[in-house]
Amino acid sequence: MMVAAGSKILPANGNDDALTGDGVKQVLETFREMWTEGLVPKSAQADNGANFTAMFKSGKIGIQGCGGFLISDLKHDVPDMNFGVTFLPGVKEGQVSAFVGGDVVAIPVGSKHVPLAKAFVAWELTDEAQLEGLARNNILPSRPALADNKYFATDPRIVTTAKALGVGYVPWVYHFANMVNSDSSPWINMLQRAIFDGDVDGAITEARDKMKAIAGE
Amino acid sequence: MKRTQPSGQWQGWLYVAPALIFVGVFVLIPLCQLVAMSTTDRSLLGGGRFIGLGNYTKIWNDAGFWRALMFTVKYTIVLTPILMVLGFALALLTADKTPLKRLTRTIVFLPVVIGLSSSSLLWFWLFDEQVGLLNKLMTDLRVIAQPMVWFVSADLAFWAVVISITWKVLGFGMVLFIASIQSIDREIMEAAVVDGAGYWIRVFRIVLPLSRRIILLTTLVSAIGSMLAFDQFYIMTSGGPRGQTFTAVYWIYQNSFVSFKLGYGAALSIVLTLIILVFSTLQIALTARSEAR
Repeated sequence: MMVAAGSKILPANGNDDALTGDGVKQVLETFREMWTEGLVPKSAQADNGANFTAMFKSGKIGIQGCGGFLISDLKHDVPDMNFGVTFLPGVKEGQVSAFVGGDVVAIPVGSKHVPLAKAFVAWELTDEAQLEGLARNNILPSRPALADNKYFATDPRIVTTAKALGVGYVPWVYHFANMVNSDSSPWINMLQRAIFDGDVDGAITEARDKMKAIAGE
Repeated sequence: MKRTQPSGQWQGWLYVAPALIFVGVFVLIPLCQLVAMSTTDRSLLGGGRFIGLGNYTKIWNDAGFWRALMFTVKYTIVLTPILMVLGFALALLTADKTPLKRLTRTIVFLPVVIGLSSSSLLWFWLFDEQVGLLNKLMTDLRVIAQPMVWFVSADLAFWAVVISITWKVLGFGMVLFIASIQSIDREIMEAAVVDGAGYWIRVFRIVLPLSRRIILLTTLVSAIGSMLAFDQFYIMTSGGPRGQTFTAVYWIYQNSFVSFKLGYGAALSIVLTLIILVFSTLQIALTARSEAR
């Protein structure tokens, strides 16, 4: 959502700034407001990701930011639920984005099979692998051009999710785990401090400094 | 005699050889590798230059590590007495060999054989706000008005973990204490009864002093286990909220395997090992001194 609002999240290196633009503050303030109004479930405060879709599945909340995997989960777990899928909004009408990411393909330093690994990655991106390997099993293809395919045609929601790759943002920095994914990351600390403690400005300043310090390592 | 002495010595070495080889291969060599790794900036992705004591000076300034260590010490100081006192009390209650007491012992001991991760996951769901049985029980009993989120505050999360671990490992101390109580000579107890010593006097003047070694052992095992706590916090609190429930080992894990800083993680591990070594030695020395008196 911050990206959709025109903000930049991650610094490319130690001289680059993190969390720039007004979108960061606007989005955090929106979430803070939702929290104080009681629109966010209490359990969100302690959520470590182990059970983060349970509330939505129980039908007690109306919107959930989530990955494409939730579609097949919902179809399986709550077949009667009527739900739609759209891109992540920004702060103004027309602003959209999506989070593209998750697992990475890496070839470690010193690998003895670099050409083989590269050949595999190249094959992984072919129509055959993307459609018959992924789309056929309800997994999103990595190439947005393949969003409209015969396997997804029956469910426009999956097509929307696949198209999100085209408008999405791929957070790519060397220290991504340290900045965002880790349980002690500046990102998670910022969200918790801003949304649950209400100190939006303090949270952003702290996260900016810490992200920059990590980027400089 | 002169001829048998050396061959006897060789035989002795032969007998301990498997243990020595095992310790050498699985403890000493990895430990040396760890020390070597701690002087490099090695990453999980490869590479690594020698940086001398660079990692150690970094630890000195790593507020996150010291906070995690303090939290671990607090956890150890709170948990160890609970395990000792409850374990000993249960041992006193169930040391006799009646069927009901044996059954009680078995029930209390059962969680010990469950994996720590499984038990942590079990308790994580028991404490859950939505489907947790504990919240349901407490709301039904009118202890709380509505289900609470346990892992929302560092203190509540801390106690949730303490409760789960007490349930999990209490039986271990209990069994050791029972062994110790049962090994006390019946004649000593009978003599005490004849001399008019009541139950509590027998417990405090005979059972406790004669169990001193087992108490030391159990305290050490429990305290070292608590200082190395990881699974329970990783699964139940994820270090949250706001990173307030990171333990020392969790911090090492974060640095080594999330941030990929293997060299730094190795240095942190060495520091933690030394800290535990110092405390354990201190504890053993203190107990030895009180025994000598």
